[in-house]
Amino acid sequence: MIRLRCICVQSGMDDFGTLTFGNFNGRWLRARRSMPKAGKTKSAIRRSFQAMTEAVNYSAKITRIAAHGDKVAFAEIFAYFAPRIKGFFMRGGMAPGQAEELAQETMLTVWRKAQLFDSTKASASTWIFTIARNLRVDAIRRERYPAAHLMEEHEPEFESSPSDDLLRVESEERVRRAMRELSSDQMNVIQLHYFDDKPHSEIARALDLPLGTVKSRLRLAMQHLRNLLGEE
Amino acid sequence: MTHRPSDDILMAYAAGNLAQGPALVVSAHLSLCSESAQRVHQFEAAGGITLDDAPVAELMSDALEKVLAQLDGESVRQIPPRGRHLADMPGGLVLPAPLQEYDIGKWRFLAPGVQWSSIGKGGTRRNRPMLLRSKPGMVLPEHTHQGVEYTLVLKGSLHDAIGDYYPGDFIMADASLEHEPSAGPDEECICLAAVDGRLQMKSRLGRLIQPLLGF
Repeated sequence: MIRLRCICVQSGMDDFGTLTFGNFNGRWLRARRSMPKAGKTKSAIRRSFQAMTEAVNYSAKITRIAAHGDKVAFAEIFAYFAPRIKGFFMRGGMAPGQAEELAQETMLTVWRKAQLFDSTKASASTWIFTIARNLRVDAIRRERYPAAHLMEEHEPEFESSPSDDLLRVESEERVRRAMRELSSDQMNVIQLHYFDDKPHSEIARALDLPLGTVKSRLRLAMQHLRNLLGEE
Repeated sequence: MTHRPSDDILMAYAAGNLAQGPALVVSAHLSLCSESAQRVHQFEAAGGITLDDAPVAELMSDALEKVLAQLDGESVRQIPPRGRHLADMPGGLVLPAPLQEYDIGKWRFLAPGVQWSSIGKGGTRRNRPMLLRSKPGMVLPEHTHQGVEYTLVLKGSLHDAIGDYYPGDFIMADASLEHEPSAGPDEECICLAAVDGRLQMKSRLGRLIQPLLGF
């Protein structure tokens, strides 16, 4: 299935958008449906509860790797994240072989840098995303991405206080809520343009929309996100 | 802090899609501006959510074993080596942390009262970041842009038609601007700059130095 999706991306077929992002939209629609106001079904409650506990657990597992070199915890993180990391790379247009290799390298880096993980600063997903992102830049451009603040190889020059850390956790929760508020169309263009690094023209082709519509949708999506996040 | 990168730039940075030079300018800005750093963290959290929602692509059946076999005997922390800094920094200026690991060349003549110094070796030459050092009141060489220029003030101040910029302030000038900033009258100005795209110097002097800079 995944292989098929990737072929579609590479050959630029028309159903690129629906095939590749169907799953993504589905997740968002489900997430939206599971929001409190939308009439909770039992399964929706279970799903949203799962989503919450999952996030907590993976943070704890990374902490266990740091503290005890816990390989069981590592294997559990691997089972959840490695296929998503590979899928994330492939959605960005990377060939399956390289995506496999880099997903493995990302997981290796999770193990090696576990001691730098601070659960008060970021969720497991966010932290692992930054590792995957940096490795993707290293691999594609053969240069080191000057972004390491979650790795703490560089300390920011301003001191972060405990209340800042609390703010950061709240802020991450706010992002989750904000992104659930975006329409799936808006989410999709943010995804394609920023995280998959697709130029406007390619997004227009993939979604079968005029170029101007893509640009204005992206602008409105960012405006909407900005409003939802609020000015700091 | 008054002048910060737009959310568009911060999102592109968080997603890993800025070229190295511009990314370094943004990264240096983040080390000086907690508001922007907080925003980038929010956008990285958006990245975390897109990772959670990424399509599941199963790995090879032996992938976990292969990774497990590599876990032992590796050091946890690899600190990047510090770069060689040949340019002296006046007045005890400490460069932002993200610049520390890059090699920084000697100050070289760019225009009367203005010097420049190259940063690092990576990336394409025209996207390579540089430091600019200007005597008080000097106008930085006039140029028009085919790309986007990212500038971060590190010391002193810069002034243009749009605003006044002090240490930590970020300036982005795109093709629509004829950008001609000048250093404040009281103090020399040092800034970090990078170009995303081609930069064309307009003045005769600019045309002369353009080949040297490799723009």
